[in-house]
Amino acid sequence: MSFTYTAGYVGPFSVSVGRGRDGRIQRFRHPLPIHRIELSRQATFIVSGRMALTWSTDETFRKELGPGGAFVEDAPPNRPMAVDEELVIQAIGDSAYVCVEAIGVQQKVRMQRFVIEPGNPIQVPRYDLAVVAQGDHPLYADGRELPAGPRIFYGRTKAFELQSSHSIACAVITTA
Amino acid sequence: MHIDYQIVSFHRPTASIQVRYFNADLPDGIIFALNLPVVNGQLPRGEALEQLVKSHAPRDAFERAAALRNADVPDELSHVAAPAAPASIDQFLEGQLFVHEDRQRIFLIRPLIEEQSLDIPLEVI
Repeated sequence: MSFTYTAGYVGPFSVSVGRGRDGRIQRFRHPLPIHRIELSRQATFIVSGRMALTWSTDETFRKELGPGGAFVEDAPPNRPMAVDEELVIQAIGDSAYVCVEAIGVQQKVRMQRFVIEPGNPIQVPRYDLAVVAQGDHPLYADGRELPAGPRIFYGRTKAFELQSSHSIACAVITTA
Repeated sequence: MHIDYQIVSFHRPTASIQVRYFNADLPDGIIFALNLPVVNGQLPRGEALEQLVKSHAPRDAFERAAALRNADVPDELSHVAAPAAPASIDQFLEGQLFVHEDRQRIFLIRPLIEEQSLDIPLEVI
């Protein structure tokens, strides 16, 4: 069996969460060839656990990623994801990733990854989506304390600030 | 003909799933909604689910796609975002639209999911 998914619309994004129990495998294909990161229609971001990734065009290249890892950005260097490229993800322990896709046929997404560190909050522009990876410490959104754990934020009415007393991986995704 | 699939969403209230079927002839794939049979309040799992999904694979569409791929593709197909010319795949998709972008077929299958069922907390600010 593969991963299980939940999904929904958030602003201009279609967001899905893929969750895999230990050992589960998910084959993953990008719907379009990705020659440059900035032309990607999807952004993927691991929010909890660890995953082992192998690419069909180079099965000898195996990589383990934890929270903050991304399927395209952390692919082997100098080799774009082709249209028939297949990525095999195996959950190491219980793990989850978030996939953000732009709504609209020609709409792209651009993902920037950060680490929220003490004294170094992240500013998220209005209409952008922020995905925060697993952390064992509370997170503060505009000063409001939230429990620890993966979270998805969307700035529907305003820009906002994310801060934490400990290091937490974070991705900010915008339409392009 | 080998056809891969990927379950892309699950809608619990209607016990339905969205499945994307794809292969080398149709790498973008086609997404279909399948209703799951509920027996004694239980949804199919494991092999039963796998068999159900495989049995609904649109083999006809993929065979047509393979035939189209092997035929000469006119240049008009590369027009970005141009409305698609009638093709056999059109009829199979029963009204689903698609456009062409850089020779890749993009199926307009939205809206896929209307409910917000993310299992990670969503904070709208």
